[in-house]
Amino acid sequence: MRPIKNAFFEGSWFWKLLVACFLSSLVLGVISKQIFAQASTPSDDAVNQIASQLYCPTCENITLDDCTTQSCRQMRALIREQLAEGLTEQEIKDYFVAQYGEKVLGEPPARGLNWVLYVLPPLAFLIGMAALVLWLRQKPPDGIEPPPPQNTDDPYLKQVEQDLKKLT
Amino acid sequence: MSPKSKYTSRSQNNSKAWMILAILGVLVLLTILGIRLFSNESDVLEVGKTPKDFVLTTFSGETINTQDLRGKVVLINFWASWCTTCDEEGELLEAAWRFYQRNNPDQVAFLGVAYADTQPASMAFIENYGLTYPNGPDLQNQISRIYQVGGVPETYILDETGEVTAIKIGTFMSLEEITTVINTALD
Repeated sequence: MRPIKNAFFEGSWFWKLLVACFLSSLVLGVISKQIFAQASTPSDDAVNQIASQLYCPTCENITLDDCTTQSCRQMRALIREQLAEGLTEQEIKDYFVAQYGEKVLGEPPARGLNWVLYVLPPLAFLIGMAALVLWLRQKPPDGIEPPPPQNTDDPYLKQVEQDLKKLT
Repeated sequence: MSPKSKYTSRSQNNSKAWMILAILGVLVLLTILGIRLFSNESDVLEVGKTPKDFVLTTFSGETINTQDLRGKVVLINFWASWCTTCDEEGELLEAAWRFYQRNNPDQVAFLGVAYADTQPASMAFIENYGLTYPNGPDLQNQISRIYQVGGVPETYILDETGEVTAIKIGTFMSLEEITTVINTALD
């Protein structure tokens, strides 16, 4: 059987064009994938910005961004992974609270008895200021003796008052 | 006494009363905080005591309540993927688990609790060391708080009644060491 000949498909320019299109789309795909991957990898700053608000659950008073232990490195890697997945800062913090409890938060939420932590320092400051004002108001200025109490029954003073009245 | 001095004296007395009230208020708040802190510190967990029951949701999604394990000897192992000695211990525990699965499947239960660990790292650890006994995360440190865990690895053995019969702080060094504490609880 004689093969069907078609000038359109037989033309070498068509096959060259097809191969060129295929190759260029392949190259473009690879490049765009790399660009996209780079863009979706969160920066250290973005990771540390969240890590600085979370405390290491196994250490004392060290935030995740300052902590050098293996567990903190894993937690920072997890933050990076979650950022890459598109989770928001709040969602990541909520996840850490769900996993490790509220103690991981740098700022405990003001609810329950936690509000005492927020109320007590300013309250103590106000009380201290009020005590200082009271003390200053009661204390006489330096170098001035407080006046002695008036004794209205003193006969000498009575005599002086009477003499003064006579004079006027 | 003149009315003015009377007024001044009364105002000073009022200020003092308010001051005393405010100081008392601060003291009450501090007392509440203190009571809360002390109430969180329960008795030290030791051999002979029965810790509170807990629910472990494993990495595979299974839910295990320790209350349902009454009648079995339960080994509870706290570990972490970042712990440098937990890997060797994990292999020993897995060997012990397989031993009891063959010999006393209805009498012994193992629970692994991943302490302060990330789930991806915990799951990779479980896969690397081929752990087949139930393992789950210590969500919000609820389990480690009951057992007053200070570090990893730590292992607790409970008898059929839920009472602690052995505590191992640190790594089990051999399979025999594990089987000895479990067999003692079984006896």
